[in-house]
Amino acid sequence: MATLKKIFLVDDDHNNNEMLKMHLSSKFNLEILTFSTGEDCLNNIDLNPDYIILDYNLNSVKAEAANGIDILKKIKETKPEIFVLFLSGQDKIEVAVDTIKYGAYDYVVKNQSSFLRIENCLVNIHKNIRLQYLAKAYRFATFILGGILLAIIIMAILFKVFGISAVNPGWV
Amino acid sequence: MEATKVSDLTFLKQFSSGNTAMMKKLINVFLNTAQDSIEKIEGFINEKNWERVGSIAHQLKPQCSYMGIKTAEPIILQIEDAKNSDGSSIPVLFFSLKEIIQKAMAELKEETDKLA
Repeated sequence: MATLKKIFLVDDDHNNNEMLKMHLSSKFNLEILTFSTGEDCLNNIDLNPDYIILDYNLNSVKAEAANGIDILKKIKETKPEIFVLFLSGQDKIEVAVDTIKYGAYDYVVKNQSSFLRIENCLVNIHKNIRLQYLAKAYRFATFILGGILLAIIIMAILFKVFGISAVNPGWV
Repeated sequence: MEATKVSDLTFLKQFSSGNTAMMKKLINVFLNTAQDSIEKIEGFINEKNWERVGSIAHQLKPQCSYMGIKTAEPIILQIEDAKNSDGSSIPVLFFSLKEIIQKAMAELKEETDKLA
């Protein structure tokens, strides 16, 4: 049985976490876990989420909570394979650029269309993974077929050089 | 004549696909968090802690967007910008924001009663 993909929603805005959870559960079959700080997310990183949706400002509940970019850096240090998407009310371009620089897959500004945009990002990630898998399979198949072709050519040359007939190889 | 509404539930209706229980739940969460945020902002204004005022106001921004409280968003943006200066304009900006949010809360409370 295929294992369920796991997603972490990290936002100090409880309402936003709930709305995103509702939206994603209605669209995908996912195991969804919510956290209000990045530190809580990092403490649970060994649960190996496939995706993390991370807010930039995470200090409205705990003033000393680290911001999303610091959390992103720590995630990428330990689990670079996790797809991290930013969902933030912060619409400053320099913040968005920084998140991409440190390895975020995409940056979505919180507004009425953000749930649909996150949904599309997850679909795109899934498509990319599938394409990468197909490309890998294609490369492998090409390698095997190339090997077979090369073996046939070498055998044909050897037959020719040693005067062995393919019809009557000589040992019959 | 009906006074102009400051909230608009078009997005919420669309988001919840007409599920009134879901709408009611989301509105109630907003009512609680908005009230809590206003109280926190007032406390931080008294302490002149503009950084925290900005953080709490920032959190309100998407919620206002979901509840269709369009007039609150530019004020929140101004509060977020003002936290980086001396913060002297924040109390006046907050006064306008509080007025809008409280009006929206009254409207939304009325909506939830209708949904019941």
